[in-house]
Amino acid sequence: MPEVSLQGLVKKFAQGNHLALKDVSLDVEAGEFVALVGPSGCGKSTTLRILAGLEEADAGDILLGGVRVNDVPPDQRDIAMVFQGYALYPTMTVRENMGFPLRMRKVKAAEAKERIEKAATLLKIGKLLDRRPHQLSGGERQRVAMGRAIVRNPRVFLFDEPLSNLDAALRTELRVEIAELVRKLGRTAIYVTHDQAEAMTMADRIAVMNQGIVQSYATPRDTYERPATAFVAGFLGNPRMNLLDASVQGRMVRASPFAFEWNGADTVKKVGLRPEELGLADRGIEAKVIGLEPLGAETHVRVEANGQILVLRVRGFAKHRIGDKVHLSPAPAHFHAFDENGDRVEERA
Amino acid sequence: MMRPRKWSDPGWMLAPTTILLIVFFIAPIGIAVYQSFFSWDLLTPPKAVGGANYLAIFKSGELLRVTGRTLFFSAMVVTGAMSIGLALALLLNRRGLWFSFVRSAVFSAYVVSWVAVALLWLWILDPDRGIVAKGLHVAGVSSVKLLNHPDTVLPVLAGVTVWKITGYAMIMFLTGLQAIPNEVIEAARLDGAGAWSRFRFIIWPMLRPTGTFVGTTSLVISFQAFDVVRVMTQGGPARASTLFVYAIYESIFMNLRVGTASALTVAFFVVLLSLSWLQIRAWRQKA
Ligand SMILES: Nc1ncnc2c1ncn2[C@@H]1O[C@H](COP(=O)(O)OP(=O)(O)OP(=O)(O)O)[C@@H](O)[C@H]1O
Ligand SMILES: [Mg+2]
Repeated sequence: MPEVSLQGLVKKFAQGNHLALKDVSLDVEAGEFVALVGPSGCGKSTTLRILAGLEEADAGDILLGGVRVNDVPPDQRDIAMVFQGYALYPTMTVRENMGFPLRMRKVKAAEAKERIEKAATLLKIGKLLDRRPHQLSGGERQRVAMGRAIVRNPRVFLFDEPLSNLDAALRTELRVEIAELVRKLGRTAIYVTHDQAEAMTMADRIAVMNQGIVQSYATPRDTYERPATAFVAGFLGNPRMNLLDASVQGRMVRASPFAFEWNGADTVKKVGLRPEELGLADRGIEAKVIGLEPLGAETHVRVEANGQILVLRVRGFAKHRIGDKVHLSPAPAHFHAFDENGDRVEERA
Repeated sequence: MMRPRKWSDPGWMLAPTTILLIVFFIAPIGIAVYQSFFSWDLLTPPKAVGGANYLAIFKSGELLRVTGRTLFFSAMVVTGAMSIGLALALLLNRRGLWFSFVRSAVFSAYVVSWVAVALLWLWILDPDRGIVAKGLHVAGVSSVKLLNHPDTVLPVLAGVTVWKITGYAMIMFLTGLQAIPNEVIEAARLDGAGAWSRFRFIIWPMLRPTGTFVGTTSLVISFQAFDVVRVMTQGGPARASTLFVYAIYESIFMNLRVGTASALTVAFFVVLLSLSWLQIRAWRQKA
């Protein structure tokens, strides 16, 4: 039985004229860490808020440990949420902030003190306990918000872009810590993020949402290597996957400037090629370099071939310049095929 | 920190306010202090009398009585306006046409002039034709003269004042409430805080600065109450509603005693200043 089960959630806001959630279904197993990603406005926060009980669904069910909780108020769902803006109580000290959920649950003072101190040690904020939120840095506030969530020992953690207000270095540091902490506590977590790196590195499974629907739900590796839809393929990966118009002709898929052998359904309308799946060669398809993005460890090279713009990834700094003529190796080892609806089409084994 | 290029720069920037302060605030107080040492009836030349005016208002018990009365009145107005204003703000802090209409309606009382408010309530409370009297009559109570009884007159005047300034308190509290991020309230809900706990532990502490401000301003407004007294009771019955400012007015314009009035004015200033200071300090400490 899944620990969290969302079944066919629908949500329409009074002010909005479209459905914020069209049909959101998601099962999360106990102890699993799930990342929820998707473009802005696709309904990630709304999904979390409905699960937490801060918002009501128009249709669909929310099950926690197999029990329907649609009508259970948020404070009785045993869910803790870490907000993007941290949502610390400004008039309370760090200790009081962390102790607030315990105080509300009438936990004895001695036990509360112990739990707060344990959490503070775990989060390395033991020295900050008597400060107020405005005396803390962003990263420290984030730790306190985490602390307030973990002292409760809830059955589910929800995170709504908890690191998005921090600088890149701190994000990388904290994402490792958060994932480790949640795993150590053995709790179930749903983590909304815009950051692909966070989703890929932290999660056991990634749910990709678009326009109020969960389009794909799989391990990070499967999501990346075998994206369920063209949207998912384009959303995950940086630079984005090259998506080319395609058609099947006999035993070939033609996707200008490429043509691949194909042994599968003839419904293919798009072919996707990851930038790292494309290579440069001494001879092959002629192309012209039109852009270079050197990042140090790798360079993203933008080329035009046969009127088609493609991005490929090369190691280190590219030796090319803009305007150079290059050749693309004509048959990348790996490609992704999608039909008219954007659904993945597999080759016959 | 930014530093002024020339020492005179901040000087001339502050000048307009400083001039206004001097003309309308410091100079009048200075004049009042000066005149409080004279006996003057506006007709014959002033006579220096030293501290006699202060001694007189103190010995006659007038100062104590007026101060006590005004304090009682102020206490009713401040607690009334603050608690009702806060309650209304909490109730009306929602979206929707209906709520915005009620908010405007409550606030509109604050915009109406004091004299108009006083006349309106005089009419409502009229013992013969007023709607209060008619209502009581229907309920079988014979006409009560709320304004004509020394025990009820001050609570009634306080009620009228509260009615007028509650809209102001409400708007201030609404502004304070809107500055509280939604996320914080939601975090409290998830942390297990019910409506009362959310108010007690989260909202109220965050509203404290607003509360201090509303408390102090309504204290000052209530201390300065004059028009309601002038229009509704003229200080009666039996001086039961002679509040501080009305007492000053009475000394000058009815009794032609500028010296006494000035002494009262100085006393008024000192009392109000110390009260405001005490109030602000008390609120700060509790925070
Ligand atoms: N309170 C609200 N009233 C009206 N519409 C809302 C409300 N909250 C969200 N929406 C709408 O619902 C849709 C989903 O919003 P949601 O906040 O869940 O998106 P999101 O995926 O979290 O986006 P982001 O990544 O920008 O945070 C959006 O179209 C948004 O405009
Ligand atoms: Mg969001």
